Amino acid sequence: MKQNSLNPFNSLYRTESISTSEFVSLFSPVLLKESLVQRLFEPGNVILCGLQGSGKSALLNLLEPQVLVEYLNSSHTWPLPAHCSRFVAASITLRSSGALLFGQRAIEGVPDDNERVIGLYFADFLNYWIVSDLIEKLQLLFSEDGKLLASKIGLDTRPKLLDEFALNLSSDACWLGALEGVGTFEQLKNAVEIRIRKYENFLNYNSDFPEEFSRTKTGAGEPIAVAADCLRNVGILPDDVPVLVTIDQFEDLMDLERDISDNGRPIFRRVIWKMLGNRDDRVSYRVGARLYSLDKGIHSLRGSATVEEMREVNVVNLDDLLQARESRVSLFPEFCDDVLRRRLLEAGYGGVAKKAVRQLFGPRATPEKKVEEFITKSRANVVSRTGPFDHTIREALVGIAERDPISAKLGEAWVRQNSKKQAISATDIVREPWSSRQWWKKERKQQALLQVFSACGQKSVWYGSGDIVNLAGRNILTFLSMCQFVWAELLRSMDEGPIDLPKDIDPVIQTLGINSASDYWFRKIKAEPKGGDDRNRFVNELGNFFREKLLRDRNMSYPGNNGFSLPLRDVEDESVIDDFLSDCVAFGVLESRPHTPKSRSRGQSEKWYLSPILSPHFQIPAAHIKEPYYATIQEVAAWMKNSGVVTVGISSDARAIRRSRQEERDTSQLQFPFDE
Amino acid sequence: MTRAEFRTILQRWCLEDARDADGIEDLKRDLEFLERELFHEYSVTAYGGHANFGARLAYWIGNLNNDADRKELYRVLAHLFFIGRGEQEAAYRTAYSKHVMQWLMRVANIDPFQNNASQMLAQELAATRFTEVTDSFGIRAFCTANQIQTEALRYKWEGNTENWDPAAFRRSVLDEDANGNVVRKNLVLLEDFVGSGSQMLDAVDLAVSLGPEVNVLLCPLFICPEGADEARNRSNAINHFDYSPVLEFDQRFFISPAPLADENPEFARIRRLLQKIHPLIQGGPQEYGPFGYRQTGGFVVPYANCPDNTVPAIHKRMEDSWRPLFLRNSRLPV
Repeated sequence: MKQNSLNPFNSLYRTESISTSEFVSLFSPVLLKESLVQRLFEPGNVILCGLQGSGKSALLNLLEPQVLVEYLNSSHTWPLPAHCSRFVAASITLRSSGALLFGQRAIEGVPDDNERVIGLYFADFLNYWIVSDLIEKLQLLFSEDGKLLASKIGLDTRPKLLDEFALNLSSDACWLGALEGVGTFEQLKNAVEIRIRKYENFLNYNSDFPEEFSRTKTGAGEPIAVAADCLRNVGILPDDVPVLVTIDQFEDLMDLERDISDNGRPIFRRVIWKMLGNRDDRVSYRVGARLYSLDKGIHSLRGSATVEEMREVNVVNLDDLLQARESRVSLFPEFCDDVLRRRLLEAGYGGVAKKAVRQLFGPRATPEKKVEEFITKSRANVVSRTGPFDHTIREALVGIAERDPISAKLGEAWVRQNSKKQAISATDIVREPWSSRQWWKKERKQQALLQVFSACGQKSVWYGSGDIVNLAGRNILTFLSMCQFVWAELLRSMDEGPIDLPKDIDPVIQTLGINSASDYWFRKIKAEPKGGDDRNRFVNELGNFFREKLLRDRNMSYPGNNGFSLPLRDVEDESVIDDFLSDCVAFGVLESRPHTPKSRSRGQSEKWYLSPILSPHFQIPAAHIKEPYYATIQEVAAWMKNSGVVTVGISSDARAIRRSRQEERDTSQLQFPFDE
Repeated sequence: MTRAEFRTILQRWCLEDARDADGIEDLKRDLEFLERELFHEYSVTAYGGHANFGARLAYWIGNLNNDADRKELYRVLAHLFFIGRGEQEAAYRTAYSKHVMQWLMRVANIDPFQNNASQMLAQELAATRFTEVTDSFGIRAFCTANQIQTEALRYKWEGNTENWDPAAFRRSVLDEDANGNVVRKNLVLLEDFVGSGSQMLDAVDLAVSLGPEVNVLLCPLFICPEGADEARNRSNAINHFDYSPVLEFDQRFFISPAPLADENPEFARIRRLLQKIHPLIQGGPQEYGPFGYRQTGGFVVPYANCPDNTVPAIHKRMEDSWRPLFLRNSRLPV
């Protein structure tokens, strides 16, 4: 028999595959504290984007009436603020709805290259599917189970209103006569259902194309808006209660587009864009999407200028939202605590603290603590045998290393940095003058830690609540996967699985689990679409480059060299590199943010770092401190070339643009163009 | 050594392997995966209080006291080739659907594109007798896996090669009729695992002695280089005998007592280790030295039983001095 696994984290996507009663136990409402997230439950179109596993689908699930009914019927606290608690919602998950069958079969009578027409049929399918879902949700709200929720929303649930609604809706011109003869709610439900079945039968090659469809194609979003109108007109829905429509897994449409269109034009995504851009406040849409499917911002999809960011659509980016800023503390650590606590409770463990991450993984481990616990070999190795210092200074540093290897390594760097400026004696070293330079020391501690472990021939270690949360990089899936690997290592270290909740898991077990998780995420890059293999090789090149730089920098002059910066104008001149780096960010392989370089001549810049979870794989610090490596566009092109990413090199156009800019600068400097 | 004690040692090895020079962490992950997916299938230790793989691995490493030797012994497992139940079933199916079928098409000169190809192949199959060289092959499981019906007679060569009577064989196995015509003119000899091939060749020699009217195919599922060479030589020399193995092991899964020119660079260290630790393992009636039967030096472990030409450090038990990882179940006295 196979070993029985007792790992509470074996299924990472629990909230996508469980019953509503389990969902209300597992769902963490922490993100709902963010006012931006609350927009999901208020009128207005919202695009909810984030990396895989950032929690998009779990949040969108909260719009489902079945889930809200479960909250009302259980002991769990209602998760939404009062002002976000009244709405009627319908939804479609593109992957499971059958919408992705489009593209599986050419529509008869439609030329293969007539993408627009295929888009129209796709829009028609979506309309019927969403209206069908709305009908199903109405049934729930009119039932005994949904009574409580309906009254909380303020619906009028007299049964006769449903037939009135059906009559109103089916007679509307938007259907182009397709629902003629429908007189009751039941008939409406059947008619809509039949239309969907006909689409599915055709797309699955079980029937010919229904000829009547070509005369009754509905406009994108129109029947949904009419359905919302009818709900208000017949009195079911109060005027102040919004109708919210969720469209999840938007990124899956890209695969479909690649099948249909030679150059992957956004035929299907544009349909959804059109729905959002209708400037129609009868219905509000929520679109769950991965960043890359937005194709470098919403604007690129504005085929017919339908959507403008922040006017028709609010963009809620979970990755940005959880980013700590100087002005605000990130919710991510609290999110991790809450998710972990719920998982452990679900697994049957008692005594789980509110600060579950700290309870399980122990407090933040300082570099000194890591060295104290893990460096088993001779500490004399910490200090280099060669350097701009004599043996007396080295001996003094070795003396410090026996007690505090991190301080010795910092001391060595301090000597290297200052030996040319001043005379340094062994007596100076014993006083450890660098220890009073708080910032200088703080900025170099992680690099010192890396160099200490490397000098002693040991792998860097990662453990404690601080490391676990930082390495997760604001992605809850990454956090859970680390928990999964650490727990698996824990199980293997025991003859029996833990009966009671483990606390302060052994740092060795944690570090091996985290290393495994990091390797897993590194391998996983390959499996992602749109050039995962290229990104995997590029990241490998970059990670090894950073490691070598940080190790060889014995002066510790560049402790921030685990990231690189580029002038934005250079990036924009090179569309291949620009696109590639953008993809790396969109797929969560790199993180980027604006950078103000020290030298003004570099102009507005952007800096890129590896996703933190990849740090253990490359054995480099995850913290972003000091200045990143100031790269040139040629160097980035070389990294891409070395890792086999197909590029056309640095284009001659870009070189010419740079040359002319340089000439302009030189000329203006020579001419002293003072204002007249 | 207990499993928990060994895990502590293993974790230390991982952390000390700073630049992955020893590949310990990768090996650890591979073995953890294989433990979960495959190693629990090893039949000999499934019952009888032998403990699970993780515990046996701890005992095995604990046979040695020196940390460097322990790590070296652990690293031997990077070369292990474990044949699981699923792999064996896949080999059964491949033997039939690929090797036997292709052979029949060749000997009967069937063009796959001719209209009656299926019919002709069915006729050839009806004229084929499947036999097993030893009972470890499991002809019943082979027939089940390939849905071969009406194969009532399941002939085993092992035990029948002494005083073998060709006339009786023709009558009872090849369904010879009164006029001396054999109905089963295609004879297939199947075997699951072949080392040097001594047992196999006895059967092959008898089968080919029936004359050119009987086509003979030798189809081992897994075969070691020495056995493969012998089979190929026979096949080259005899027209009506063909050899078609499902998987012929590469030399890299075998360590020889003396270094070979293009061997794995790690083999020098492993060779030294096997020779160094052999005093803890040697003894008993089946003593073949550190490299196993006929000095084959195999790292192959089929799920049903470990062959004696796999290095004894993996499978041999010695009271008070050596606990094996995959205990071998032997027919001979141990």
